[in-house]
Amino acid sequence: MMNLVEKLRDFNVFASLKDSELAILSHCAKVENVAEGSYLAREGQAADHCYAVISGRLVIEIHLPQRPPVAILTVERGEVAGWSWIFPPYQWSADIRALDNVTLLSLDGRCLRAQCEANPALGYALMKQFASLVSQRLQATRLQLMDVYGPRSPQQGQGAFDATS
Amino acid sequence: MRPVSHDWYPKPCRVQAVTRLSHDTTQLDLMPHPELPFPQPGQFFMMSSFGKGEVPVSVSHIDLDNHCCSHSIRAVGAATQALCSSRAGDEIGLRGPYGNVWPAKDQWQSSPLLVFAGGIGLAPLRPLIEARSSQSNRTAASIDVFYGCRSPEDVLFQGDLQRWAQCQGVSVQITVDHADQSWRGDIGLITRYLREPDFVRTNALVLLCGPEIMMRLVGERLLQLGVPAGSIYLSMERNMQCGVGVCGHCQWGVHMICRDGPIYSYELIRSALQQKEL
Repeated sequence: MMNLVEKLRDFNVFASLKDSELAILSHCAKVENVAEGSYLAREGQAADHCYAVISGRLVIEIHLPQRPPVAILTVERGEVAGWSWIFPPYQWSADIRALDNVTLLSLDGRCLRAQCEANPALGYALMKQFASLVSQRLQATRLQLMDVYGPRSPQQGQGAFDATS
Repeated sequence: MRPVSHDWYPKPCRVQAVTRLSHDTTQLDLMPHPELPFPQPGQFFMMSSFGKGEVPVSVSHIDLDNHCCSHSIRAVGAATQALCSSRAGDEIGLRGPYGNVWPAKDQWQSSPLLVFAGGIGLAPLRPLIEARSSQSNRTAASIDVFYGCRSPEDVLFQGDLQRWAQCQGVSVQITVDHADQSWRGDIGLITRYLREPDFVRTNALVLLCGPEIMMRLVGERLLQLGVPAGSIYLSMERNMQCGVGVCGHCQWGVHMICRDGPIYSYELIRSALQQKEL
């Protein structure tokens, strides 16, 4: 258990929590190895997990009709993939695929939600941390959408989300 | 009427070789006119396609042995499209070199180098990275190159990036805004590489070149991490116009980029970068 608490502390999103709170979270966590290419989440399905990457990388993908999936973010050591477990309706908003062989802390979302309901202080602390994570991702996505690298050439179409590109 | 300086007349130069770097970017290798001074890393030339127009283009490669330099041009308008359509043996116009140089000498000679480049912003940094990473000039100081692009298809100088990554003490990290499933590299903003506690390098020389918003975000993040503003330099090359500061279009607040730049200390240009609609 102590080992899991130490592992949780390595992640920015959990680093500000008290030892007693990390001990509670550790009851919801387990270390998992995931093979390259495996999908950990599928858009629209129940978001019952949160993944904290110990080694390797995950990639977040969006699916579009008549297009191959578009990869929009890689998540690496020390980062967390999955905030949908904390916000209703608890559904994944994108796919998560293992880009490499990945070792991660898998946190059970239902267990986390139950602990948050039972311990409002822990719930508020986690809500602040994950709201901050969502805010950072939102700001990054805004900049990616701004397409700051100059005008596109005529050959390139309008972008990753344009069916003609 | 005041006579026009001969320095302002384009000198004819032959294109020696043409290399397609990406779907929209082309490298022209030129043998500069003997009357033109040889450029230094960070400087630029005004390049003209006769009958089409003239544009400022930074020097992206300097071959001192063969007295040859290269320019990497992204086809976005009439003049740049014409230049990108050049063939070996074609004649183009060149005047310059203009602008100041990257501050890599004197007190910075042995400093670790951090390079943040976005898109074609890697081009003006390339001669300096090449010079620093070459075995003969290799010092103990490390070089970290961080490069951001729109997509894997937009990654320029792929061979160079791979070669630099093999050099001792040099690291190269590339991130793109989006990719298909074949891309094995990183995806996300270039600021992803500026997470604590990885980044406490207060003695490093930091060089930035890319979209202004990228340079501002990286610059501000570096300041948060304790990197002094005086050790951060950036190139405002995207704002160059006539090359000599007389047309006024290069004005950026109190700065005339063509005349005083394109390379500035972050300390000097920071407030202008934060001014809205400038």
